[in-house]
Amino acid sequence: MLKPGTYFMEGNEACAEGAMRAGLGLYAGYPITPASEVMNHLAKELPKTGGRFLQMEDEIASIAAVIGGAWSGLKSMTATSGPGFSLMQENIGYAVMTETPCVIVDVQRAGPSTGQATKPGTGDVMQSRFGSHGDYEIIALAPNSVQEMFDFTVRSFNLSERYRTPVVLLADAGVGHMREKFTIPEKVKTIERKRPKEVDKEFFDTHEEDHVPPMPDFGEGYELMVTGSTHLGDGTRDTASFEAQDRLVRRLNAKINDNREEIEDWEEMGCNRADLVLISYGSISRPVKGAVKKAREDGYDIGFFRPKVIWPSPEDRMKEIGKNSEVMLVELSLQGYRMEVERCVGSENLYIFDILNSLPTIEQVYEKIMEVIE
Amino acid sequence: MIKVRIGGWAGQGTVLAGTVLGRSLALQQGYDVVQRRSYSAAVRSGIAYSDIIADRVEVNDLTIEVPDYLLILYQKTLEEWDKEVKLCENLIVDSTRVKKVKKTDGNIYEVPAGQIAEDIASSKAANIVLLGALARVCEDIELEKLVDTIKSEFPKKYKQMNVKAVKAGYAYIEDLLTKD
Amino acid sequence: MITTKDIRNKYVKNYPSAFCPGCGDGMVLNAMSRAVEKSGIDQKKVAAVSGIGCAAWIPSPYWKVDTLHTTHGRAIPHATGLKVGNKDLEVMVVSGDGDCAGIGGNHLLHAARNNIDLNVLMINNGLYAMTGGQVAPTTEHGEKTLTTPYGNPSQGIDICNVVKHSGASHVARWTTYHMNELIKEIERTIDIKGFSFIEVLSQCPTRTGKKEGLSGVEMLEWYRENTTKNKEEEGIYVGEIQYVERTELTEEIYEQISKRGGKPR
Repeated sequence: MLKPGTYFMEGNEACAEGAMRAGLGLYAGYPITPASEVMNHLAKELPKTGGRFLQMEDEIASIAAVIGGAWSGLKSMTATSGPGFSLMQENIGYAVMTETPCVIVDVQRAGPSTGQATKPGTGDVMQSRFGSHGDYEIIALAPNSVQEMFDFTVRSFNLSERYRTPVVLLADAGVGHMREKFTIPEKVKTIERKRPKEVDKEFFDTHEEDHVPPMPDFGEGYELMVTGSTHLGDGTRDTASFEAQDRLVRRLNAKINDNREEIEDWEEMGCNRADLVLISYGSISRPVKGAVKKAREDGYDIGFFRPKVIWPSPEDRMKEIGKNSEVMLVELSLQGYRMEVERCVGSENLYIFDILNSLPTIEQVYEKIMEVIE
Repeated sequence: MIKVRIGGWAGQGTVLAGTVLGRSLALQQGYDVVQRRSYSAAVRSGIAYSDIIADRVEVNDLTIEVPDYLLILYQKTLEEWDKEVKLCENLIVDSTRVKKVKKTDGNIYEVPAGQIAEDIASSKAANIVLLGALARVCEDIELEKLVDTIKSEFPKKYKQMNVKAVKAGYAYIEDLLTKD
Repeated sequence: MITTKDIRNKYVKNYPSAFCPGCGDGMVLNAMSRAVEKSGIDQKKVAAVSGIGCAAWIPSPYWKVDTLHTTHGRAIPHATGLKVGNKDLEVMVVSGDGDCAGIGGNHLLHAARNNIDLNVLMINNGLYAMTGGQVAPTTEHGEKTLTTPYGNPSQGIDICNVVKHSGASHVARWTTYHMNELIKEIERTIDIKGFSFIEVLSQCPTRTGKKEGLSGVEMLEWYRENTTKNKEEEGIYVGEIQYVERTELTEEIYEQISKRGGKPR
């Protein structure tokens, strides 16, 4: 683990450093381009901090070991890309249902299927939200710089511990394979999961306002019953009753929905009543921001809006923007965030600039802006 | 803004050279730097290159269409990049491996980097020789800082050899320019 | 002398269970409880991990230890994370033949290769019982099941042999007829550092029994008549299949951590 200071490193390495700073205790993964550098770095560095490193036989085993690690009391993580992320979906749902804090890094590449392993894409945005079966909500963050690969990894752990839920760090090959300066601060703020008090008997239900029950470790004598089946507050499986299903699933969803204000995060520039607002996220948002700056310098009333937390989406703010401005979504996929943005701003005043395989230049985005406003 | 592309074949150390340059500009010279790499999924085949964009303000352009400085280590790479080669301001090639160079709009520097490197220790350091040449061609890149970066980043075994390589590349251009 | 009632009170909850009358799963629960009791280990440090299927319900929610009831086929990798996370846990995996040798087969191979200190009980009833009695990887050639109405066109797998050759420290096979031996074998797995695998042939009176016209007790008798403790004899061999000492994954990982100056949290 690096000392506090400024470094010039790859996004994937910054992610690994962020994880260790957040208190990573167990990493389990399987190699895949363009995410492997996360595990390569951790294989060497994590043991020195006391953390366990496991290379598993596949991505299903990886996410499973991460969940097991979380219940042993450790902060746990895996990193993968599209094909591996697809394999993990069932157990991500299991982590949601069992309220297991863990971090899943998806360094997105161009898909579908094997696609182009070294090229960036954002075709997993909807998968990160809906990829597992059943009704659930999830938290996903989309970094656009090496610094954010570090910062957002730390925040992913903090959110997962705070809300006892899996969190997806939805990076892309652009930002994962990019080298930039980034700073490891002297102090990194970390959050630890809520632990049971003597009186607690229920670890799968709560009447607290934040909807987050306390979580003991295995081996502490609580006779824990952790199950992916619908369960009661003490963990007992209830595979039939309306009340159990209704109470549990609504609370799991409320845990994210009712805490949106605390979770949401975005960056914006000149969005109030602009003629046109560009919405973008991930690595491609960098040239988009550059183009908006240039257009503003040239006297155009153009705004820039970038969700940092992509799920839950900043829907209220996007709706407001949609009411007052035309919107252009710029992303590295055809369908990435489109349905969500369309839902919020409407399809009538929405323009799309989708580009596959590579990042556009500032000039290319600028030209698109000019096409739209003229 | 400085836009540099270092291109070659997979395994030639284009990414390593790019990282040395990027790190030197970022940490030693205080630039905002983005370095990106491109390669195919195979480890030892295909065109590989590294792009470095450095500026005194926040870098948001992550893509180089036409580099200011184009460094090429492999003939086939040069042939693939018609537009970049023709339009770039400064083309620096390893003439040990790149024999046929078409006329371009900008300056062409032919540096026998492979040979120079081999004379020092190993032709593997051709990438670093070319980096030294770049430091002489591009005024904004400081040779001293590159040397410092090499000293702090390379394993002990390779330090001396690469310091010599970067200095030799610089000296080659220096000679070339003074002869003119 | 500890009575059956004492064992039940100490180790079993949510009784009576949802198992069918005559099912072998309750017997396995009893065997596991007795083995833990005899071994003298701290019940609080026992963790049971299971997947999906009838056998996965043996620990969850009936066994009074920490239980992780996971997704289909994935009990072993979940258990791997748990064990590597906290080496002081005594991690038992309870899995059916479909769960363990079918959908989870790859994990089984690699856990055996890693020789991670897990105690795996594979309860083998020869088919997928919970979903109605479909063919399993363990079903014998020619057997008729819900999905092989014209007879099983493939061969059943000898999973003990697979685990043995994948590198597990300890492999054994017993049946629900051999309760005393089974208890002793489970107790041994607790002592053994390394991957322990016990195949437990167990009756399913609901699926197999009805089809064959056998009750649970009659199926136990079938096990008695068709098994042997002598490797040279005809019949299904029961007993120890392998015991070797090999390096164990968790210890190796903890050692690497401490050698590199880390302190396992």
